[in-house]
Amino acid sequence: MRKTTYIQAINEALREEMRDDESVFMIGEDIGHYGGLFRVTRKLMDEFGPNRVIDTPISEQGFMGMAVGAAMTGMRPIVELMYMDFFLVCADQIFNQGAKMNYMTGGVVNVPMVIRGQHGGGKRYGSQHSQCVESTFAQFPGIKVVVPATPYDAKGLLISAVRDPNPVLFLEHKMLYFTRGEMPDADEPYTVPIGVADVKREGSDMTLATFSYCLLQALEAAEELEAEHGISVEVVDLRSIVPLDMETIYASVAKTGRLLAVHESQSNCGIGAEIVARIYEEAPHLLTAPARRLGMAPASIPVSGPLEEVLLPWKKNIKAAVLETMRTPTFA
Amino acid sequence: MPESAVKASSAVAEITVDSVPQLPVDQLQNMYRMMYRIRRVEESLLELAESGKIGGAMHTAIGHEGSAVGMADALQREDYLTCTYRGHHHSLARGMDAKRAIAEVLGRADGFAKGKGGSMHFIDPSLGLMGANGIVGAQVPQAAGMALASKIRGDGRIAITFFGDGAMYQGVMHETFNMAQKWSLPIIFYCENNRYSEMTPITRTSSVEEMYTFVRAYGMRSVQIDGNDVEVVYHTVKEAAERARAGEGPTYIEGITYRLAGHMAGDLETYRSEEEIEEQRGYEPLVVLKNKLLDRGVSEETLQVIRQEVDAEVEEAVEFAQNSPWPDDAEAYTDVYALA
Amino acid sequence: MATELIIAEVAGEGADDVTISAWMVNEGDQVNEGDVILEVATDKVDQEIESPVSGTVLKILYGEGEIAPTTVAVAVIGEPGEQVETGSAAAPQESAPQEESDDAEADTGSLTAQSPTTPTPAEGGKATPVAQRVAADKGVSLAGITGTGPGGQITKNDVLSAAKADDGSAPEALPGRLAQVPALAVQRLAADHNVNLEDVAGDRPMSTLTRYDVLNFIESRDTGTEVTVEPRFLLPREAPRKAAATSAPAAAGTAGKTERPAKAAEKSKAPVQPGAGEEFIKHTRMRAAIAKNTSSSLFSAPHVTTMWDVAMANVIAHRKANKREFAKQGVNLTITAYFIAAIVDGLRAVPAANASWSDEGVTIKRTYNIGMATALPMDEYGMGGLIVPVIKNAGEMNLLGIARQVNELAERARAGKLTADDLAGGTFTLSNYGTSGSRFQTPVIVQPQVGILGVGAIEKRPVVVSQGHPLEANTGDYMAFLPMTTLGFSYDHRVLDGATADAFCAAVKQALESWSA
Repeated sequence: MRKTTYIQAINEALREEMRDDESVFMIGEDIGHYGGLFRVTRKLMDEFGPNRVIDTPISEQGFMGMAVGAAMTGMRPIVELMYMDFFLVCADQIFNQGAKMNYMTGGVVNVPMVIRGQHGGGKRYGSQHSQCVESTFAQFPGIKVVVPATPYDAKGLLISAVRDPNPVLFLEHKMLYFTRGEMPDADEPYTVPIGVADVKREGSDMTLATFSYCLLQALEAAEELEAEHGISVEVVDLRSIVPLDMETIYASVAKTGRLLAVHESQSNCGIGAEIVARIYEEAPHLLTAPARRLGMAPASIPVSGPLEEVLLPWKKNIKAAVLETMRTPTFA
Repeated sequence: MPESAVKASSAVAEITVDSVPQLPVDQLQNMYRMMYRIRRVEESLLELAESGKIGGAMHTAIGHEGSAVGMADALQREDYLTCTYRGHHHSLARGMDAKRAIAEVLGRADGFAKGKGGSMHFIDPSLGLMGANGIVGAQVPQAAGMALASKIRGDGRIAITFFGDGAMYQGVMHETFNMAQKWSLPIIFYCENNRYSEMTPITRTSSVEEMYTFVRAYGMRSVQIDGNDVEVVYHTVKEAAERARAGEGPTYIEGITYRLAGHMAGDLETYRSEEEIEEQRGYEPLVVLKNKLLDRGVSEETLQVIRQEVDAEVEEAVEFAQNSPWPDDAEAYTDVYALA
Repeated sequence: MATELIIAEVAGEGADDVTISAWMVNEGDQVNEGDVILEVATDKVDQEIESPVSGTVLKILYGEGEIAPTTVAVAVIGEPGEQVETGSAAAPQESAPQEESDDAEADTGSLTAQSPTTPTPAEGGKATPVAQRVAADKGVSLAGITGTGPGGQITKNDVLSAAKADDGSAPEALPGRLAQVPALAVQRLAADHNVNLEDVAGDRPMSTLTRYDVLNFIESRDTGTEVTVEPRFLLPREAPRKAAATSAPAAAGTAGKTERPAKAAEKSKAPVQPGAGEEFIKHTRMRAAIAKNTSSSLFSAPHVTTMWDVAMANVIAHRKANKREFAKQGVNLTITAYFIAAIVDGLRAVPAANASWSDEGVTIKRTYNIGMATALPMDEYGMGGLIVPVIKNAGEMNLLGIARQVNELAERARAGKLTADDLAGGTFTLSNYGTSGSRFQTPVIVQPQVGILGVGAIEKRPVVVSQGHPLEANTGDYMAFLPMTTLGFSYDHRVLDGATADAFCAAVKQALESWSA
């Protein structure tokens, strides 16, 4: 087994899919000659040329719309948004157009495209370049939302995303880019299916359902909780939040009886609220104590490092939430 | 008395009626048939809307038929087309079945999108129809994306996108003009300038008088034509298509036209006078084409027969659509995602 | 020559009357000898009736839901066109017997009553009364089941297999137009995976779909093979509240009814109207039978109960030593088997305990058919049921044979597959109320037997172990904690007296306490 960075895993997936399928092309700001602000697309223009690795003007709405249009003809565009925060600039083309096209047309025209890029806090980029966006996307039917945390899952899921006949939002957390993980050899093909969660750590007292960078934070928190408090936390990596694999969560909660959903997007009306709502609707009998969610407090992300740390639902906040949840009396 | 937004229909800058060659009479006769079919479908839809059978917003293109019919004959079936929510005429001109079109507007199971798309989302990829759009301007970058796809594939297809004068002030238009010109995309931007952005005269909101001059800032070829003259539209679109196919990049066409009915069914039309509409009836595409045909030796009786045939056909289509069943309840949940 | 179908002739020993649950055939249908043509319910079991001959069903005399005596014809089978002697033209089966069925329900409070919350089955998919009852018991929606019976009729087996497929937790359809509204969880899955729920539901209302129905569909579609996703985390559902009031009796009097013995046409009683905060639960046929049997037994036979303590150490030691050996033979060695063997010893010692009373005399029985009173699980109202399968010829079997029989009957009882034969012919009964924790009850004799032996819970009790005279103090006496049980033997004082009853108990006690390998 070799180890690669998260960036390398994505770069490999892009390269392999571009090689395998001529209908795949990439479009975005600074992705070609420069190789991407975070160097995710580096050297791809060298191999595939400017016709398939397209540097755009700073016109998110325009090139997002062009990607939608190209996908409607059967091409498989991969759009990079330099910062996911910029989805708001081109929201109409994503949500009103791409996501709804298959439905509005009664399935006559589908939109096989990937929107990828990095989001999240931790680098002191401030309010307009640090927010996690997955919960907003989950509000709009028609677009899948993939949130891998490990290099292995990132490569396997990006390949699945490119091959998916629907728009797929592929979210890379900026804190994940330089993390490393085990990978099969470069010539060993594999995919990871969209919509299947993965238990990344087994435990017996409580289930943490999370994804993306919060997963790494949750795993660290789980180790410390075990060592310091004797609490055995099971960590479920959702890997995608649309579709949402509740069955894997239920299987875990059937064992632990407690659930905490953790994510970095807004806590209010966020995906964690959805997960908690669903378990109350579909399988409340599995719970022995109230289910909870932990997300961003309703504030924008500040530049100041200590303030950012206060807000982000990372290790410290996760540990606090777990202890709080464990103190909640059981229903019985 | 509202101020008139309308200049004389013949006040176009670059191409006049006299400057294009004449089309064969039988082709014009077919164009007349199509134009009249579009008119009758739109009128029937207005009747259905008035009787409460059509919900939501429905925008008819009565008066706009010239641009659609001229375009359809000038392009290949596989060329891509996107258009605005005022898009019934483009779809019908490209060959969409009136039965399924009306059924779709009524939300019936036999609609081309199972009743899920409706009036504002006419689509049929088999006819190159890649979608009308409910959001002003949104279809324009999509058409550019289709042109980009053709360019990447090198398959010789071009794209045409229709929009109105009101769309010109959406930012995405200018993003698209820039990229299309910069990348020499095979695309035609067709502005159906009916002088009103919805209920507001364009003169009241635009700082620019001649819209077709806009894109010249991007270095794009741009012409203004009489959009009500089907021969003019035909030749202009055909020439633009040839340039696009030859890799010479996009063309912007501003076709001056006039919307004879309201913006949507139920429009109170307080923004214009009866006199203005009456005056424009003299310039409208069906009248222009009919006069041409009579001038070129086609009898009124021949045209009468065409109209009667179309009347019967559209009546049958309305009947079909009204008798089409509602979609199954379970269809509400399908098609959110495509299956691999 | 037409053949009359008489239940008693084709179904062997059984009850005096049966409820016609379902006809698998219509008049005019061709049947072969051995075809299952009818399903009937007796007090305690459902039974399939085979055609005794090949031929054409000329006439059906008892409609579904009606109670028919076992000794008269319920149908006539013969050659096509053959005249049926009983005469008058039969009303079409779909109409007349159905009306009669309603009538019979109202008349007799039979178990076939269909609660108003039961959805109307899909058109052409009428369910048999037994199927309806089983569906109600299992909480399965009939509307979602495809019938495999004649004309798409839903049979008991259809319901059972549907119940199995649904893990017993398929929801009832919502009422009326709401029946087509799927649950939110189901809607989500359909939208997320582009599923047409009507394809999943088939003939079922969409409101009966569970997530797992949709997950099955998705898995099967995506993998191209039939996949069943185990419904692991379904929220348990409460059965819909059973409806209270019965509808007014349907108009009586149809052609053909006059041909039958008057017994089937008892007059109806006024339906019970529950008050506020009350709920009326119609008798099941089993409940009615238990009520009739227990009360008539207590009112006719003077019951006396004698109570005996028995040390169980030897039985338990023996069972421990032999359990594995028995298991090798495929037999689960239960304590019940020891009690049955001990009862046989007791009956041998006191033959009058294995007997039946009549005004003329006592019939002593030389075969030992020991009934095992078996409780059925209680429902949401706390009402259970009782069924008594019989170990036949227990006197001719050793412990292994008895244990095997006990296993088999228990298995059949659990699976709901007891036959009329399994329940017939008992000469004495064992009631092991100890399994529900009781130390002592006074069991009621199953008529026309003369005794029933109750067995209490086995538990360790302090026992004085005497080392000398049993009633004098001895230096070696000590207190031990030994596994004990208490027998409660109810006997019919018309046949047995205190001393003879105790002689029986002493023999049973002796057998149990002296058990050795």
